[in-house]
Amino acid sequence: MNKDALKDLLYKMADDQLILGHRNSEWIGLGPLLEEDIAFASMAQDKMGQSLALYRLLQELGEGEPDMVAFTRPANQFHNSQFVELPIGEYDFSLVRHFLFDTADYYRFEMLMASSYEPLQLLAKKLKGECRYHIMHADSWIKKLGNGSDESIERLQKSLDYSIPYALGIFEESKFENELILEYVFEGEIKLRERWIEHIDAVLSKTQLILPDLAKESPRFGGRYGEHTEHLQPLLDEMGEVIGSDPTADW
Amino acid sequence: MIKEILDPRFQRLDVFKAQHTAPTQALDQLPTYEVFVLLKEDGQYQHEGIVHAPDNEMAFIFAKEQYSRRMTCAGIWTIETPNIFVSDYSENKISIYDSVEASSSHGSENYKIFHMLKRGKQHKYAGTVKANNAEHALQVAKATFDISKPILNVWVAKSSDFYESTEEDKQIWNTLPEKTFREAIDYKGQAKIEEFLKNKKQ
Repeated sequence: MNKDALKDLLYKMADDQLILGHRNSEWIGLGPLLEEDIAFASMAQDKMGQSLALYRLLQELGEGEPDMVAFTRPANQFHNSQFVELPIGEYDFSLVRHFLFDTADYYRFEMLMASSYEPLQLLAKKLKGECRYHIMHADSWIKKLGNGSDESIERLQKSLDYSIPYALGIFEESKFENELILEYVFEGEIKLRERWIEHIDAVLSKTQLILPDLAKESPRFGGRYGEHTEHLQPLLDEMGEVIGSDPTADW
Repeated sequence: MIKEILDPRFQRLDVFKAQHTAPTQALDQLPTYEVFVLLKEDGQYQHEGIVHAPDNEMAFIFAKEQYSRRMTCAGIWTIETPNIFVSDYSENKISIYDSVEASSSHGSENYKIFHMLKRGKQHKYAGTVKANNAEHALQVAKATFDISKPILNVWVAKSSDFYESTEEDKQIWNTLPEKTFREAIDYKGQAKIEEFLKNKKQ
């Protein structure tokens, strides 16, 4: 099995979870209603747990200790998609991102349940339930607000239009795409994208929202290769503030 | 007034510069839904609390995180609060069923029956009866269920008013078992404080 290909896959998944987990945790205490605050915070925490599990798989492959890997790399060594590093904005954007990202996440793990790399296959099976809840939560909100008031529909549509190029960036292919597919580690970003489109299209068709013509969009690529927006480094600085001032800090 | 907040989330928000807008009354309070949880596959559903939600499906979504985040769970039912018919309350050893006339003629609609056996304890699901209305359901329940112990209060609600989690939904409770990082106890805070204080004295 090609170890570099495997690491590349694990890094991009782990970094996506870590960064979006941190972003979404920024809503804690500020959510639109208490019940939603609890649910959204809890899902952000799920993402942190998922990133930890993935960094542990990387550690088994010879990479560094999870805390160091998570909190001490500079932005250009992160492989997350640009989508997850964008600021939380208003709740409509955070919800739309949750819907678009977590749908991709759900199907990625579902595909990985058949991975030839056993540790990842087992992890994918364990995470299925969590991810399932995440898309139930997202789908319910999108259907509710996508058929709600003029304001809710307009806000979601605006956030959807803004998000789509970034969301397509999730599916940026790895330079090891062929190896991963040929060794049955992962069926690949193109297959994942197909399943993602099918799901979001089915949900959006039950609302008054319109999915933009994906063929006309230019995806925001680069994240998987360390190219990021201006928003990532300040976030990493904030996340690494404690470990940066005292690497032995314990709490 | 707080002069400085270190939390970077709040610094970004500029909360103190924000114009405070008056709450929009009609939108500020969503209706309440009662949540019943099945902790184990072979147990019985019991009332756990309420959530505010825009509809029954969202109530279920919220209830899942609110009431089944840390424990095992095999199912959740939710129902809008006004859809529950509440019997009178009795005290001591007097059963509420003592003042109900038993009926063996069934109706056409399913009603779920919940019993409270002790003051301060949750209502537990006793079973479903076929009846014409809530009062009739009470009468049928008296003839159907084991009511040898005094029942202090009964909740009755139409089965069709509930949102019930499905067999397929069960996978959402099948999650990573290593969740200790979610628990305050895992951070061993007290031990660290004591160690800190000990070192400070020396």
